[in-house]
Amino acid sequence: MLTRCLLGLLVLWIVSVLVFLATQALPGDVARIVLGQEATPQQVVLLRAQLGLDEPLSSQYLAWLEGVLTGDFGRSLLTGTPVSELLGPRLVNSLTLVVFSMVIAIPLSVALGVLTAERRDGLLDRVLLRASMIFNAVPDFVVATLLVVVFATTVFHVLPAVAIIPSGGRPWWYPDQLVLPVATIVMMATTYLYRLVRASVIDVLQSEYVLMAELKGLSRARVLFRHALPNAVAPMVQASSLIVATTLGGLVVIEYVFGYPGIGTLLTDSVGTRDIPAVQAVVLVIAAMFFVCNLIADLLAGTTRRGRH
Amino acid sequence: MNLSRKRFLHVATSTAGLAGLGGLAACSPPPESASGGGESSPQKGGTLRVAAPGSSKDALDPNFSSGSLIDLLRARQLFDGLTSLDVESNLQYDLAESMEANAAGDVWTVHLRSGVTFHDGTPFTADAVAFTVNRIIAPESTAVAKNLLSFISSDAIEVLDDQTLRFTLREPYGLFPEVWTNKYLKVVPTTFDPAAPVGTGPFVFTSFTPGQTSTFTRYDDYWATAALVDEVVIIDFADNDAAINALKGGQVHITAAVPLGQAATLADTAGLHILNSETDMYINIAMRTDEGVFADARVREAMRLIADRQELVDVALNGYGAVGNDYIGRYSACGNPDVPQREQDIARAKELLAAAGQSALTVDLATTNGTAGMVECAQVFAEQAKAAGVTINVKNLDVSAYLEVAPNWTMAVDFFTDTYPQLVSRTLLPGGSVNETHWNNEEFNTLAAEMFQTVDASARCTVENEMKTVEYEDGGNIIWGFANVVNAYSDDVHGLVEDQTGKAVERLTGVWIG
Repeated sequence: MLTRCLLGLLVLWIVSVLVFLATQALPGDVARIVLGQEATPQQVVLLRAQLGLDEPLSSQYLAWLEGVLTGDFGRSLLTGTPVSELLGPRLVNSLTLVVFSMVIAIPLSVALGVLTAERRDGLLDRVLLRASMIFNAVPDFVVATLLVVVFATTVFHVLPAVAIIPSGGRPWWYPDQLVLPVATIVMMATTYLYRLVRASVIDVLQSEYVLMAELKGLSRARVLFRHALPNAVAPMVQASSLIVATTLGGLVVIEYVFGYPGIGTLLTDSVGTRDIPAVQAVVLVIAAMFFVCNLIADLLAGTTRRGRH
Repeated sequence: MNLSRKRFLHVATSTAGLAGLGGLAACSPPPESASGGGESSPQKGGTLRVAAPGSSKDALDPNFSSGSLIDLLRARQLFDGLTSLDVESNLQYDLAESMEANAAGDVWTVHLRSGVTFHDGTPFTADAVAFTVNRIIAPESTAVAKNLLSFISSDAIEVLDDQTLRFTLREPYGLFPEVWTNKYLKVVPTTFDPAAPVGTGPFVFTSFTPGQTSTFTRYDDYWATAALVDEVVIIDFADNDAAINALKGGQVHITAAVPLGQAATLADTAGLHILNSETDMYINIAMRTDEGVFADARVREAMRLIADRQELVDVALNGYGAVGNDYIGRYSACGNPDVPQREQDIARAKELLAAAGQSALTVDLATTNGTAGMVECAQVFAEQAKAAGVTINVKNLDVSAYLEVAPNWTMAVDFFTDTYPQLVSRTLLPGGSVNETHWNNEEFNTLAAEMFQTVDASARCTVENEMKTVEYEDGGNIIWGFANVVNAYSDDVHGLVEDQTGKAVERLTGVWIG
């Protein structure tokens, strides 16, 4: 466990170095963006010096690292506000999306997985399998755009096309703005997860102890709930954590389509304006969340494997 | 079997439902102001929601602004300048009532409008104007507008009384009143604080989150006609398509940036309208005249002859524009210079290239998505160039990468909208802030100096037309066309007016919802 954490920290450090180098390698810098096209070269040089952009790369990076280790993510080069103030509300917004989506997607996947395993090759099973193949092949922004076209702009006008959360507002005060982004994530996640549950349940239903339980005369419900499901759930638990992790990383696309003010749009915005401290902070946060999700997945898998029979 | 299915669905849906309800039960949304009724004569009230392209670099300080569309949109609601341009590009006096010069044209006296107040109730006086000018021209200032006011030095501004100022200039400047129409020269009070900006404009600052939204409320004591709507909310969008979706879905009333390729479709969409303003904005292809392959005037002329201007307007602008003739200025009180309209002439272009030894010319063309048509015109021009044996590699960059090298690209696409004298200083004179062509033509420089110093308007016109002729013959720009500015709005918005200066979406005092 300790070695895993240490390795995780090492990976995070490597990620921060790579992102720093990658952003530095991009042409252009924040001074030009702030001053616009008409600034004289002298004004640009002046601003660069004020922002510390003319220092050697290694000292810029070390200064940032020192800050992070003491909990200070630095200040945005663009506005001067502390990055943590920028990041905080956006992170809350993104996590809201992820939590709402997962809270719907995971139980839904379990339900659909068990149902279709029970009634293999039934109508529901066949329809869902085909739908799932289509969704897995289609990128998430296409699904998102389709939902927007159907529910917001062209076919029906019942839901908002863009998630406009007024400044200072919390996303859960505006549930209608969340419906389409959450629906997109749920559809993408469920179509993948339910099949894992299904395969796993089918597998487990064929094992000997299930046969034994049936022969003993136990009701179908008891067999499924108390004997089959706990064992079938293990691969799904790991998959769920991975889905949470990939959703976090893939938020950039979904948030962009819906204009949702989360960490994904903060990242695209900051890369566009070359606001290096903000980019570093967002990537570090996403990488850390990935690591934590994977850790949780492994821990949970360990527990369920040793779980009831 | 029946039992288990019911139980699964029950468990799954109740979990999901509980989670959803739990979220909803947490808080109630904050109250929103009531919106207007449904009639079509001007009525007060409502919250106007405008979508515009923005990012976290948004700022509310008009003098130090980066000049982005959304910054200017916000600045226009909160602040005023001494003078401005109306929808037909005519000079109008705003915070200043009149300006007069001495005979030599180097001492200007400005008389300010009386009875004007700032949003905090303090009176607008000459001190505010002096303060604004000084903060822009201060030695440590990084304001872009500093270059515009280079003819003023800070010790030469006299405040004569609350309503009068005198500027003693370094040299005569006939276009003094026109300078103050510039977007960066809006007046701020002596107590100005960018975190809580106060101005004289038609709306008062209420809240602002850079990169997201801003909310401004009507200022009932505005010196001109007060606005009709109660509130203006300006919402940032990173993506033009998302903004259009928001308009279609009824989440915003107006969207500022409409890609020209979508204008026709939007015009035909039920419930939406487009505002099509013919403007003097031009999209130029700038070639460096000081070094490299375009230093040779024959190569420049060849490139200008390659352009099929009508095709560029039809394809890159989707017809929303007009053909240009390699000099600045679509509308001028001075009329047009007496030069023929340049047309495509591939044969002549090839001759010129051969004479200059550049028959197999290959060159990079840098562009970015600054305004509708910039990227498209580069692609179309590259296609047209093939016919003359010229290979153009279009480099479509993001804004940061483009700005990194600008204004020093060998060949690049750009766009401008401003008054003629401002454009001359900024783009066509050595030392100009965006002289992308690095042009330094003696005849032009002399004529320009004469124009700036001439106070008499008709004498100025003669000089102006001579300058345009020189530009037409020797300049480094291919000015193939002037672009219209298209905005889109929903059925319930009234009072938007086509604007020759391209700022229709900024003029919100006459707009009502209903």
